[in-house]
Amino acid sequence: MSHLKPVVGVSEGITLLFIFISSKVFLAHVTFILHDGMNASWVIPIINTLIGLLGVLLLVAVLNGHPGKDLVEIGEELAGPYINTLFSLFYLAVFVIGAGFTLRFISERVVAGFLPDTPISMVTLSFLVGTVTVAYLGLEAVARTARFLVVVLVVSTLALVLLTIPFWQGHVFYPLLGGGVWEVLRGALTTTGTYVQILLLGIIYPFLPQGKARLVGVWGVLIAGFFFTIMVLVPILIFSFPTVTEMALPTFEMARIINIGRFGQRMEVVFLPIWVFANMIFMAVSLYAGAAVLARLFKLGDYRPFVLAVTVFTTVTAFIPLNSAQASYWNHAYLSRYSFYALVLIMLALLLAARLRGKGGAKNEKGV
Amino acid sequence: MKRVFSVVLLLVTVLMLGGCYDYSEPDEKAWILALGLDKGRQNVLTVTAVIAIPKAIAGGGGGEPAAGGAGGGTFFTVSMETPTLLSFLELLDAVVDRRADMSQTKWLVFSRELAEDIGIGKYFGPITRFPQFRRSVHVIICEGRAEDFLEQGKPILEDNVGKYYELLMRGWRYTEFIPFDTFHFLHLKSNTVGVAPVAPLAALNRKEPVYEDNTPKPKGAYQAGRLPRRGGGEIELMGGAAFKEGRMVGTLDGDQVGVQKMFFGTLKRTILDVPDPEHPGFFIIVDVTPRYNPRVDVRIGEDGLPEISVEVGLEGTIMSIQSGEEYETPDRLPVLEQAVERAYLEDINRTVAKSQELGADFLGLGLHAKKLFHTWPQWVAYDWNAKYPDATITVSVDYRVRRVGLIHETVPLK
Amino acid sequence: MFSWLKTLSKFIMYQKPQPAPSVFESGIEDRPLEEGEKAKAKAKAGGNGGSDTDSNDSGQANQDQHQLRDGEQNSRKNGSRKRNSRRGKQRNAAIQEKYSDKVAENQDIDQILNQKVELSYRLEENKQVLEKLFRVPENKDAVFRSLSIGTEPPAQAMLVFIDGITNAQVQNLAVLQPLMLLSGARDIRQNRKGDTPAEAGVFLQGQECPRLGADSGGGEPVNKETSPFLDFFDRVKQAVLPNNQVAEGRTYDQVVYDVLNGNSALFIEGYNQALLLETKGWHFRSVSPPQVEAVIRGPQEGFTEMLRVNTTLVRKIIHRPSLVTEFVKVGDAAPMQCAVMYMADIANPDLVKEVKRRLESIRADYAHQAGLVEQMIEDNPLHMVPQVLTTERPDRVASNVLEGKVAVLVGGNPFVMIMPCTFFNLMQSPEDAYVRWPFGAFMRLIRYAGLFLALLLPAHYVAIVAYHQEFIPTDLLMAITGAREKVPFPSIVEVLIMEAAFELIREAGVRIPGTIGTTLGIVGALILGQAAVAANIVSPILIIVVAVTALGSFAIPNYSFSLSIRLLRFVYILLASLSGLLGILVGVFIHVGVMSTVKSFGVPFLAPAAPVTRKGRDYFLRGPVWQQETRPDYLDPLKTKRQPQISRGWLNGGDGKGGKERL
Repeated sequence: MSHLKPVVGVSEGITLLFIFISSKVFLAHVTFILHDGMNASWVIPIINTLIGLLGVLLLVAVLNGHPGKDLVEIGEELAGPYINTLFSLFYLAVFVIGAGFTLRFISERVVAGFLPDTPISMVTLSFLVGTVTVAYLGLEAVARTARFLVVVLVVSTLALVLLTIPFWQGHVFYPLLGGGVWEVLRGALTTTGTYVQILLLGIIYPFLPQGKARLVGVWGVLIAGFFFTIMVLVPILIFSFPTVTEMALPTFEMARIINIGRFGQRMEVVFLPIWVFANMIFMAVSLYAGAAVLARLFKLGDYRPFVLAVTVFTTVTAFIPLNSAQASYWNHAYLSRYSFYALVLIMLALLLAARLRGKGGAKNEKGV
Repeated sequence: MKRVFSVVLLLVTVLMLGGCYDYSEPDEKAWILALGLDKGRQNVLTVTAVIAIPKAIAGGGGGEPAAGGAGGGTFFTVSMETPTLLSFLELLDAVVDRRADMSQTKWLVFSRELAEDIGIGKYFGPITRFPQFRRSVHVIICEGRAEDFLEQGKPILEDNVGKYYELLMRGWRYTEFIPFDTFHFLHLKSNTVGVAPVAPLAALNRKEPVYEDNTPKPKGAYQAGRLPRRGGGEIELMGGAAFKEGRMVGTLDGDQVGVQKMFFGTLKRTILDVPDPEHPGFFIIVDVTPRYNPRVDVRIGEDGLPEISVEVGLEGTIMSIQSGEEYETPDRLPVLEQAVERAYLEDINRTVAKSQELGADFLGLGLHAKKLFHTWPQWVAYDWNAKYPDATITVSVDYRVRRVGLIHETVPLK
Repeated sequence: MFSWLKTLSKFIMYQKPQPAPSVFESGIEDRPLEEGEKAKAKAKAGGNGGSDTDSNDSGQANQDQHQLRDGEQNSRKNGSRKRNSRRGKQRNAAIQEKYSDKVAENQDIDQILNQKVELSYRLEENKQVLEKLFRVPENKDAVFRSLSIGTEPPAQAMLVFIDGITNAQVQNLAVLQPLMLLSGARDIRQNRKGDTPAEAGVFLQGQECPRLGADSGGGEPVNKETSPFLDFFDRVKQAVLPNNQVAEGRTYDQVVYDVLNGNSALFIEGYNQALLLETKGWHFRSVSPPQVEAVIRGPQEGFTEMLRVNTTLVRKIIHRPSLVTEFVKVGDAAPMQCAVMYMADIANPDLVKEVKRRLESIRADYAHQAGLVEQMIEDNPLHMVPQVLTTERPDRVASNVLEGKVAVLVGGNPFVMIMPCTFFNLMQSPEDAYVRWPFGAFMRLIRYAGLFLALLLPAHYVAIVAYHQEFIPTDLLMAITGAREKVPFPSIVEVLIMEAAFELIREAGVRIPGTIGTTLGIVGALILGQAAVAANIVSPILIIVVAVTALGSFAIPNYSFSLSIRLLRFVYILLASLSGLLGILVGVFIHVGVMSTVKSFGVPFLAPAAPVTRKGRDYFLRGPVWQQETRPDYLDPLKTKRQPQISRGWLNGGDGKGGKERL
């Protein structure tokens, strides 16, 4: 550990952001989109990505007005401590609820798919041990771990996609419009919460190289959008519309049908790293970011005391749902639907406040 | 340092005691390689499991070679009367000392009786939901009872009965008689409007004669259970079982399966016996491979019924001309090509008629009709399945000879 | 009459211990002193105040040297040092009491060195002090050769050296012979020229002429106008001794360390200086092929135990004046020479400063080997990975130094440390660069595969066989299951047994005397492989797993990295036995997380992959050599460009002098 301020390079920043946004494609998130858009669901992630891009540009506009400060500090400066507490609680909720439901869901999946006799607490514990350790080591450790493991993730994901090519069917695109234009659009607009995780950019902003936040944000969203689109499209191609909606974990089923001769069957174990690493990175980021929000909120210099606190929150959240189905439904209802609009409202409020104060004679450091 | 070490050690010990819930040695499990389902005698179902005997397959401990012999003794079957498929899994542990595990299952055999009367649709549930099953398993419909079928179906060439099952099914690659549909496709096609699944049909060797005379019959006219033969393994796999709404509605013979496979691009090649147009009683034998996937053009007629035209493109090699007639010259080739086209058209028409008769669109023509609609609700509202049997279907075949084999021009026998 | 029985029973049941008589018994502090000794010790305790002040002194000095460090580290280090010294004092108290006279004597002698006492004018006094310093007459290594310099009249002199580490030939021909026989030659000529016969006479009675030493410059110049020499001492240095390196020593400290390094010290009656003559001549291994890092193509010479030879080997490759060799004395009790080599125009000055700072701050009793120095200067001693690259190949040092790294050569050790070092450095071999690049890249791939196998194969075996059997192809599963039917142990125990046995073979293989080495192969292969399977102790497939694991670990080019992999392998096996692949993956996640926080001299261990820095074509795979245009970015070298865009000048036609840009 260095005595210097941690630095997250552009590449690590992009990696961190896109994994944080898109790790949920490996969970049940995709299934909900498939329900909304029928066989034309693959359009939804594309629309979502465009909306996410707008959101990230808005966020960068807020951030660039205050170099060297993160979203909580900016809120403190612009909206005052009381309103900012509300904002920060929203940020915290995004991280903690996301991590909690993810923890629950991935643990349930591991129990269901790989370790049927193991109690879920053991699985949860092993996930927590890994993520807490890395989150505790700091943002640099989280970012570099993500950057190092992203190779494994991307290669396995692409392999997963490519190995299922023999199962792709061309007819699934028809009828072209799926449930109809309005249905698809409604599906897209009600699942924008996919991109609420761009919030991370606001937390790591002070550690990014000067003036690179927009680059990181845009590329993070674009790459995440690419994986979203692929991971919605490919299950449709393989399982075709009505069947695909019945799966809890489309990526898992994709891994299970891969069949390269008599030797290469039943390969889901090979793709276990995708689910485990993607979600562990997601959770490590969440734990760190949650702790960082708390540290800023309480104006402490070090996030470390809060990592364990956030872990406790997360674990408690994880076990509020009574079953795995509830966990995925709640995650969708609370995070993936409308939370993005709340974030956008906060951004707009902050921008408005900045404009008002800027006219009031305070420093105005606009510009990229 | 010492403190850190002892904490780590303690943690490891605690984890060791707490962990290992799923730890199980492979020799503590009974590997089920195939499952058979019959209508029950004393309960709803009779479920049969084929359980491998690894020590016989691997040749036992001390590194001795495999026992060899006719594959006998490398597996045993257990049949039990159970209410559901999965309750069998637990019942099995009352009989077999090792914990039953279905993750290596290759075949899921339904007896024809069960498939026709009850249907297999309600067994899709456990297979898609229960993690030990997987979608790559093959669903087989067998004539007679599945318990007999599995018990007597002993491999000759293999020790490992799992390999036997897999290699038998692998025949889809080089014969037209074995449909390709794994459970994955079976399930998809059952769920999708506009296509119906075909499962492989299997049977035990029928000992008594099937046909009464020796009139010529195309080879593809056979199907499992009606294959006149002597010798070989007990199991035969040929033809298919057509399904509609999860219930078996009829059987397809070898040639019909071949046509079905051609529509899904899984037909690699087939050998066709064509009657010689100029020498009755003689056959021309050609090799047929698809040139492109059949071009299907669907229009909705004024009466709301679909009008379908299918264009099939084939190519191939002359393998034998029994009569010695010189068909190989470029100007004479069309004669031969037309003969092949006629013969194949007959197969296709037979198959199409069969599918309309059964009301099961196993050729997947509905998938092409889907393109005419803009949204899913419209497509569902059209109710393809109801309209398909009354559709007008016209088929054209185009066969080209590409190669003539090793003979340039035949010299007739003198 | 039964007395013999009694004796016998006594013999069997009880025997009075008869320890071998030994003056030295360890654990003196635990045993109460004998009465007489106690009194003696008490009496001596009074004169034994030096030790405390001494240790305090060193602590103070340490603190001074560490002032540069940031506060946190400093306080931590200080704390630990304090604790250690307290513990040490407690332990040593009894011993120091018992041998207090000896301790006091040693301290007195050390004072001479530490306080840098200057030499005396009197030859006899110098000799006495030096005899005390070298513990003569017990110590037979130190030789005091008296001689008289053959001038007219002869001057009394003394040559001090350590027998065995000097070159007797050089001493005879280049020191003693000119001094004793030829010293007059130039003298006469000088005399004739300057015509000052008194000159010689003046300094012959040095003892009577203290004025010569009064000014430390070395005596009054006599006949300055005519003689080019300051005085006799200067003349001996300049004109008499045909020795290639001569220095002047003024303190005992200087003289002693030079003599210990194989030089000879010449004392002349009447001068408080000594001439330190280069007569190093100890025996060393000649330059021979590297023992550990063998290559097929590439130079076949490795470093030796001679520091000077080693620096030469590097300089032989890099003909650039900017290659700097700095010498740093490392260690406390017996300082040892370390050479720090770097390119002054490439290496980042801060990096060089940091390396030197760390080396200079070492206060250790015995830090004479590269491995010990490495442990003293690495960033994170608790981490499993080596943070310094060790090599015995001069070409590797040269190429790394040219990249902007710093090499530390430790005297008496053929292993050179290169710092900073990253994960990818540890996986490289110089061979990669010497073969054409596709093959170099392929060899690297193989090596990474080896790393993966060595670290994770046994763990994956356990995980798959015990947790994820569905992944095994049916035929293989049947084979594994069938083979396991008679094996009594669970798979995890099997794996642990075989891995432990293999580690045993490897350790024994290193320690085994060469003559019986071949038997080890037979034992290992036959007994453990064949017999274990035949006896149904392990399943045959496991033998393959262990063998492949072993091959993988041998493919790792760096020895200390391979050691850490060997150890971590067992951790992964345990994790795999806990929760299968999930355990392994969680382990990998933590492993990568921890690795990404490791830094080697300020460079992140996983650079340039995480964090991403600009990379050349030589970190994971090996790119074509003509494309390697930049030095590693993470080193922040003074020159980033290594070669111009077009390094193959002939491609441009013309005279082929490369691009316009020059380096």
